[in-house]
Amino acid sequence: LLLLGPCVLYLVMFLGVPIGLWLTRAFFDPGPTLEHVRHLVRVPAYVRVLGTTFRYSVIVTGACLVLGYPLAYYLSGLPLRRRNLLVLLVLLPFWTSALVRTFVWFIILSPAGPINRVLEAVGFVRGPLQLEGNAVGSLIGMIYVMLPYTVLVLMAVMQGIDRSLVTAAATMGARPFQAFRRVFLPLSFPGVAGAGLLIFMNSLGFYITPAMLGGPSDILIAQAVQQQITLTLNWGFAALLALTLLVSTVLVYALYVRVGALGSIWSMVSTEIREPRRPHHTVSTWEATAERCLRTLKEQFADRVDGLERRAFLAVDWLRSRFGPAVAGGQRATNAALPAFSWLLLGYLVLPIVVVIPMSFGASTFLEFPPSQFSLRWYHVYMTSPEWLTATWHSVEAATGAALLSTTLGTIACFGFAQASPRWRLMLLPVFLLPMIVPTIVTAVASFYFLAPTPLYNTVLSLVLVYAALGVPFVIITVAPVLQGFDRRLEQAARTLGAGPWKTFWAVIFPLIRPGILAGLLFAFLVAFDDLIVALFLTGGPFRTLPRVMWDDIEQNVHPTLAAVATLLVAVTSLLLLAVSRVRRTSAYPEPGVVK
Amino acid sequence: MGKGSRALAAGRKLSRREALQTLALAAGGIGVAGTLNAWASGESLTIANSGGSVGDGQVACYVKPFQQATGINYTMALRDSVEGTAATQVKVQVETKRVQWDVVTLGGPTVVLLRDQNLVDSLERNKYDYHDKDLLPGTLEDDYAGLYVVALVVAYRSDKYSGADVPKTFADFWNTSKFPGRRGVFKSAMDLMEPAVLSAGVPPAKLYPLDVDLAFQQLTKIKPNINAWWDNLAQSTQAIKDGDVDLAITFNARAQPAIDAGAPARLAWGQWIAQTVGAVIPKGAPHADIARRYISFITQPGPQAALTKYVKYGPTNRRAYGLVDPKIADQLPGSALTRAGLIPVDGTWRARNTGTVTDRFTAWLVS
Repeated sequence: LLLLGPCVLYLVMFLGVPIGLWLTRAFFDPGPTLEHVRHLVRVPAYVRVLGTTFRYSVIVTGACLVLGYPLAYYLSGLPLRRRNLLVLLVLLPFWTSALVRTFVWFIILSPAGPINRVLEAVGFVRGPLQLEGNAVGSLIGMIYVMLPYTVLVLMAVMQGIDRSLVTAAATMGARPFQAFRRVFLPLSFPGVAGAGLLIFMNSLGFYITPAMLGGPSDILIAQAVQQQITLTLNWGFAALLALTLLVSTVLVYALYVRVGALGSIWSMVSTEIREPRRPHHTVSTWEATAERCLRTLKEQFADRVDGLERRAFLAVDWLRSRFGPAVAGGQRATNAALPAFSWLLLGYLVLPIVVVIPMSFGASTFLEFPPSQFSLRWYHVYMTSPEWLTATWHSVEAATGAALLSTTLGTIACFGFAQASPRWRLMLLPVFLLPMIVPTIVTAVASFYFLAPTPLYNTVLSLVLVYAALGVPFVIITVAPVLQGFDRRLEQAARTLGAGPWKTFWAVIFPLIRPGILAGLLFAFLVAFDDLIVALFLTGGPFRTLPRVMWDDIEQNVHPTLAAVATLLVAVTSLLLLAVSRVRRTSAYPEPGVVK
Repeated sequence: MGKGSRALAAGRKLSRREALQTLALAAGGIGVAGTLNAWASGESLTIANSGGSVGDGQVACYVKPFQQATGINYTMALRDSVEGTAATQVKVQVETKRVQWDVVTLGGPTVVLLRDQNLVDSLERNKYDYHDKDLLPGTLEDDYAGLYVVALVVAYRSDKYSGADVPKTFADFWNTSKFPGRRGVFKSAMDLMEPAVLSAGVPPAKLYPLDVDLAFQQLTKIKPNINAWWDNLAQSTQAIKDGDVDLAITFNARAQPAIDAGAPARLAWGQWIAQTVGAVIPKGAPHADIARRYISFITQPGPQAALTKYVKYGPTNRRAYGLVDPKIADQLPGSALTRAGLIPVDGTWRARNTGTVTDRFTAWLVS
């Protein structure tokens, strides 16, 4: 538990206390009052907004897992070099601000946008399809944001799975699908649970994406909170809304725990999993968990699931009767389907970048696709603008500091977690994850009250401290499943062979859990690198971060400068990553134990 | 500048040492040398604006001329481009008594919100000259000096509607049989109330107190014909430019860049809602007196006329219109060409009703 100390202390100090204090406004603004509670009861629309938020989170989580799982499976099975290259594609969307990506989607999906023009040119549709300003737009945008996270978390776990187990099952007569379902799928379940939790919690905070791409009724809770804080300056009610979100999330979490999905992240049977001689026992444990999960879900959504299931069965029957002989060729069809599907998804992830790059070379003062004339003027603007350059530097600085700090804290905490009793784990996990679901505007305003009286105010350090706290949940969720798959006997073996604790960590433990740590580091970096709101409040002064400048540019000019910046970021980071993997001949993701 | 940078260096050293003392534990692991900034103290005015072309214009037309005239240095600070968020920034500074901004530009209704929570300082109109007699009526208040007029107006594609039959009023925006086409609005209650009521034929003089029930009736009528609900100001500019919509209710300075870039679009100046954007001094501002001198300076015709080169907002000082190139003047809200359609917004009504109207709007949207 000593290992948990620093991280808990840190979170409580930099998020818990400030946010907690701020949230008391729900009942003490101006004086002790229940007025805000009455207001919530009077205006049931806000309860509906909360419902919409949860609904979207569930849909996005489900969609991301269903789409991301095959992609991650495909990627983690590839030879090292190709995998590295494709992982780069998955990472591409990360290197531009979420705001820019959303705005680019707004252009791509618009009635006069590229998708509609292509569809019309092909003669697929008559008039333009309404792809935004409705739930379709919201979902396209939200899944797009979350999918890379899903894939990375899943991959971090899948890399640790020994695929020879699947081969072994096959040699013992299991059909390919059966081998996958009985061996690989259960082994990857910690990743699914981790990714699911990450996506779900994170989706609760969606704001800009549904606001810009969604329809009139796509108002999510984060937007409602923001509205109450900024538009009406009614902070008591804003605090109450945020509090309602937190409480209902904790309730959902409790349900999740009951369902048992979470246990898999922190499963006690981690060593058994790696025990090749007792796969049967392990698998049945996992199967039980999964089945329990399914059963509960079924009870919840009995009607719908039944309907769906029936329809699915009907569809399968129909397909079988139609293509029976073709499917008999089975394996070959699946072999082609998986890469095709994966490439389709990769195309989806890369599309905005593909559109942004030509836009950045446009000569017009607007974002145009395809540009009518080409020029380098926006690169020139960026390169010669002290405002853009210093902002870039500040962002890199703050994000790097924050990522290192939160990865250190988070990883240490994960070790503490692994040693803690299950009861403690389940109690403590929400403490670590809550920062993720507090609307950022609340975090920003609350940390202002906390940091403004200190000399840290208006410094990059203050940003680093808050960002680090925000990054911790991401680190924990990515490192924990990997650590869970880690065989402790290796550590014991190293110690027996005379390695000290440090040596053991660096030579044995670290290389094995590196995929998780690197993914966590990356996420923590991105949380900081993409922030709009916290920086606004903590540095109301002379320096700005890159997303701030981008935001102001979008709000004021929509010049293609931001497309140029996005292109540069994509180019630089991709080259950097490529170079690193070339030089080290290894990647962010180490070779899976045995491939064949 | 020498003095300023020395002060900055001193401030930096001090705050780093203190930072490390207070938070030795947290700061321990990170290399922060040279990354800490602190505010320079001394005779310098801190002005917050929202950057972009308006921001550039303010620096060139307001701030630098003021510096040349008085020798007072300035620091520009970052105000969010969304009004409400900027108001929140003021609120947190005043409440924590860590006010950095001496002057901030904000919209009229936002200022009423701040005033109601006692967050803005007096302009001391008895001591400073704000050119009251030249300003458009209603643009100067005890704690707020309007600097320019912004129009909420119907914009339309001239490739869709041309000739004599073009949209002129908000009623035309609501008239889907006479003007069929794709329509876009902001997903923001306060930008729709006045247009909705006016579309029902309520005479401008009887606009306030605004009939909220009527406004929502009108919104319900038009809702099925709205194709785009924008969240972000720039979305409207992009949509008008790309022709995603044929009609929009937007701000004139949001449609103008699309027009300037060659998009076939026009503004329906027959009827428009006038809001002012102006300067306020947050309560507890460190250099409130200099701030008042600055505001007095920028209510003059010269600086106001100059700003129109950067952004098409109408000056509040009537004498400024005479100094503007006539071609530009025609595009400005408040000019001779556009003045007939002007309907001033009642900032107080707006501020007092933002809460209830926003609640109702949210309920209306999600129902």
